[in-house]
Amino acid sequence: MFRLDAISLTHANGHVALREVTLAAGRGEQLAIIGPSGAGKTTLLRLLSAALRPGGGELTLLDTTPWSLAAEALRQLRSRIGVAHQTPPLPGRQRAITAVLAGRLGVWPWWKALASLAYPLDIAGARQALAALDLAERLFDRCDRLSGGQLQRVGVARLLYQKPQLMLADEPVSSLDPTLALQTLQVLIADARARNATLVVSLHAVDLALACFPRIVGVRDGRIAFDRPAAKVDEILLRDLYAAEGRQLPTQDKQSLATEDTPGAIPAPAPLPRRNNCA
Amino acid sequence: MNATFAALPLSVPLRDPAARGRAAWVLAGLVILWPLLSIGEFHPWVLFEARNLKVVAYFLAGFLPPESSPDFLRELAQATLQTLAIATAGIALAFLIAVPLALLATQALSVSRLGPGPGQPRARWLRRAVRGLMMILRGIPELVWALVFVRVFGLGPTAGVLALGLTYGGMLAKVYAEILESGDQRPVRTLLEAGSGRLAALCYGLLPGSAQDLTSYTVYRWECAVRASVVMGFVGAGGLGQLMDQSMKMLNGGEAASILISFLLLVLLADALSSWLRRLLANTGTGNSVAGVSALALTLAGALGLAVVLSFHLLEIRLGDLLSWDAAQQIADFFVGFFPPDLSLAWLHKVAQGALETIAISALGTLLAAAGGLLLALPASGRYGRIAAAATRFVLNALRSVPELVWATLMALAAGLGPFAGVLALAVHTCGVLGRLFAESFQNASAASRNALIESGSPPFAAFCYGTLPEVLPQLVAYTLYRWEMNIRMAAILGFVGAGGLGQLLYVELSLFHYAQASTLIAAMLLLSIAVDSASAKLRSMMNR
Repeated sequence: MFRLDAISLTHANGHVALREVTLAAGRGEQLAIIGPSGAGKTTLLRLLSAALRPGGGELTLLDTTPWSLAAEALRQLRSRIGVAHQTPPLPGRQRAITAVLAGRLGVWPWWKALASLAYPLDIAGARQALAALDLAERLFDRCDRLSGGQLQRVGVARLLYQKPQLMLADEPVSSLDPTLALQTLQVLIADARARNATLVVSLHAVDLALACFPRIVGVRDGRIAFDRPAAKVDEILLRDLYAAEGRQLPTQDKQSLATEDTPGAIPAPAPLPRRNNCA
Repeated sequence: MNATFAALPLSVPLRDPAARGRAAWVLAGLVILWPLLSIGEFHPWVLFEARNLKVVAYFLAGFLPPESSPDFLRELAQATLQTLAIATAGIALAFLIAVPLALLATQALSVSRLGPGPGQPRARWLRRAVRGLMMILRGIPELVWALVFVRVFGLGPTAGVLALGLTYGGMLAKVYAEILESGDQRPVRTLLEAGSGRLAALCYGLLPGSAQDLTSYTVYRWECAVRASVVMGFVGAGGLGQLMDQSMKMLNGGEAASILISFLLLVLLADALSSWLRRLLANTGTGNSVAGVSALALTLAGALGLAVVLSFHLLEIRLGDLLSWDAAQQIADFFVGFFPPDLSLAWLHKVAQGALETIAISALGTLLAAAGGLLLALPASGRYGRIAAAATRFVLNALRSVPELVWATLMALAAGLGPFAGVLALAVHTCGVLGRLFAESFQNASAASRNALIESGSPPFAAFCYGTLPEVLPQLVAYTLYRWEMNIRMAAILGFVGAGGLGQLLYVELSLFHYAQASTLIAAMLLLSIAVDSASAKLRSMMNR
């Protein structure tokens, strides 16, 4: 489905975001990306959505090399990849239904896109996507009337409505309370599974990632720190990953796990923040 | 999928609740637009009639080469100088009119408000009367004043200077009064409370804080006056405009081209000079000053005084004559002829028709301009590369540098006399203005929504419609409504060159010395511009909800 081979990327301001990253996933696979802020999670996802061009290495998306494609072919490839953003960039005056329907602009002909601005052409489809996220009643509300968490779910609904083969989500539940966050992830996971689509989600909350995803990729300093099944992720790995962020492991629930007080001591095998109730 | 979600009752209807409202707006728009199209004689096909095409082609072919015989160039230089002189003398006159009006009208110098003291009701009524006078002065376009004064003083620059003086006097007075009120009021209030006279309070309490703003605005108005004085020549008030009017009527393309070029150069020069002066003003204030007056200010004031004196000398007008008892008597005698206005039903009916035509011209012109501006703003905002952006920006600049009245003369050739020529003239000029403003909005809009759509495979045009347009639409509509307010005044004037509406009626009635009828028309113009101002303000506040 996608393959990154020794990918490097340096931003225009000279900041090195990714160093020699190698990562691959097959069709229908689901993985979570975790790591401290600034580790390169967002950059990684932007590479996967063919929004950023890698500085070095080989990138294959949906069995093609996106940056060797002509403009029209690249556009069609992008329409098969969908992204849910942490703060969805939706115009405040746009209504939720229009924002959701915009997910299919890549496959709609131009006249349909224009006509849908005058009268929404797929109300049932947009309603279904929003209803899955418990937002059906906000269907005709303007985006500037929605809270941050509701906006995030509108962004997820757009992704659901787009039905892409590669689903990417950049911290899609960061503004939601624990229950809603879990439910929203469950919807994404169920949708990806039903359509056999590949799902890559970056998450700040370690416990959610471990509870919901079979495969966990830890990113630190622009490198893959580990890439293994969730069952094989132990606390030592996690503490290494988040070493720069102090003694707390970021979790969904506010009471993060505190590490041992005595520095240098071998951490006791504390219970990992794991849930078994995800999907 | 989780059972709790699938089982959710879908209580939200499958019909867009906003659809009915939208349909009603579209229907109302069509119902309004349809009669406007017929009143505005919207017949685009006449542009392609062989006869009209031939006239325009003949005229435009004459543009090359521009006329450059020494005799003509001398005449051109003289006219250019005259235009500059009219603008300068007009602003000087406007300044003389504006200062006493502003001092009377401003709240900042009110002694009776302290307390409130004795005589407050009387002062309030006086202030109201002065404000009303200012509104009438600036509400009637300078071109109408010019047309009227040409009847009193004959063809020539005197009419232009007086017209500029009155209209700009009203504008300057209003803005002066506002500037005086917007600054820090404590120094002047302290002085007044200490029993200081009003003029002393002005000099010591208000001017130190607001002199820079006042000067800067006056310079900006001078720049506007240069453009206006060109246009006023079309009704016989001298300068470049008069020359251009003659050349166009004779279909002399070569002369028209030379005049247009020198007009554009003059406007560019005035722009540059004005912005240089204003930057200079903004940077001073902290320089070396002797007794509060810097050497620079003295130099500038000296140069200004010299320019004004030279202007009056060149125009062979003596300011004293304009402000003399004789002139006042002459003007008063003339204006008495305007009263009472003709309010007979038959004439009112005709005026109403003219007003409708003016509304149609302004609305259609502005609508066409908004559509064209939108189309041109896309490349001008750099969406299709740098070359396309530079080219469209050049086109937009050219469209808006040529005044509406000049476009109207051209369009009258292309489409025949009548309202449609006015529609086209407004559309072309306003398209240049709106195109530039729209392009700036597109550039300033955040690109995040649009980019997110592009990154999920949306074609650029759809991404623009779904990502950029919703954010900038209120601003685009606000710009368009502002231009409509300006265009309704312009549409009332375009008739002077045969482009229909109230202006055409006024031109005819004044030529026939029917002053009672003319005064009804001028009153109608005033009412119309006030009505459009408030309608546009209402629409804009509705948009921002």
